[in-house]
Amino acid sequence: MTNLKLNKFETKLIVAFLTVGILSRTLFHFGENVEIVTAISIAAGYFFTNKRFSWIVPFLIISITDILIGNTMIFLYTWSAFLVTPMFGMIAQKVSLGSKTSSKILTLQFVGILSTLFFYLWTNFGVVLTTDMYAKTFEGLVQSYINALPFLRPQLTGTIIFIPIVFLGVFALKKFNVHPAEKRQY
Amino acid sequence: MKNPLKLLVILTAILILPVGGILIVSQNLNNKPIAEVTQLKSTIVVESLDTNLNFSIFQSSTQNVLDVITKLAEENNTFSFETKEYSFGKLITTINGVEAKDTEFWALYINSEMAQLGISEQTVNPGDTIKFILTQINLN
Repeated sequence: MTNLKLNKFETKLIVAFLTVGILSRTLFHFGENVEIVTAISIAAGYFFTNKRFSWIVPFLIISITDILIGNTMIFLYTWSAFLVTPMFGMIAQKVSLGSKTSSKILTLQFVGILSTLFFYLWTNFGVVLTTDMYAKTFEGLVQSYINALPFLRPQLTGTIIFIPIVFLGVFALKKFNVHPAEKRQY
Repeated sequence: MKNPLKLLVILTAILILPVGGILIVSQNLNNKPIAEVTQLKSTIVVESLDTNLNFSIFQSSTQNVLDVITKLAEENNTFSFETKEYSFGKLITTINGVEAKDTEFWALYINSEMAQLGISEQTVNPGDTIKFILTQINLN
């Protein structure tokens, strides 16, 4: 039987992540190509003890919002990219530049940058394969990456800004919601 | 995850090296002189099966296409457009009530050359011709 057990804190975290993630892609926008879903996906990989939810939560955010706002065949690549993003949070959980919260945030921002670069490389590869905008050659691929560079900058900026906000928010939520006996060292 | 630090180092190399290379290539391609201009008339052409329209607007500096057509729509009530935001940027969906169907898109041309950037990033100089052509998507 599939194990979908969660503690109370993680249940509240799922609701918070889904709410913020879905609203950020539908009702309000932070700016062109500035998004919080990457930070949420990394947080899902970092915080959930039941790792199935590390993938379920980002997948639900991106699939529900894409059904609402629409997408093209590129969805195959954007959805799969957000299934990989939580792995960066899992790596950050195991690796840290130090034990202080600031060191953890720096580590998370670093993996956030890496996950955004992965998203950029993977989805623009998908643009070449699924559309006729570029020749399906190495030169066409390079051209697609060059043309996507202006979209990469705001995405990186958003990731760097939102990761500390999301993680400090979760740490604060944990402080007020988790019984001392249940506290885990993240 | 037996050695997460080693995995992180490998991922860093795999992801940063190609992006660094792309940045270097793009810098070498961007050596275009900036045009010094006074106010000139730019032309906007809209072509579909049933439509062939010409508009013009005075432009005093280099701007992105979105800003130019937004200004045109404000000044000329016979021109209108709608956009939709995707994960890779904004795309034009409708011009003057003509909507691109699922198998079509509004292709952007600047001075007869197909644009390689989206409407928010593609710049036009005063005096340029912006052309939107309703085009079939070829997914072969």
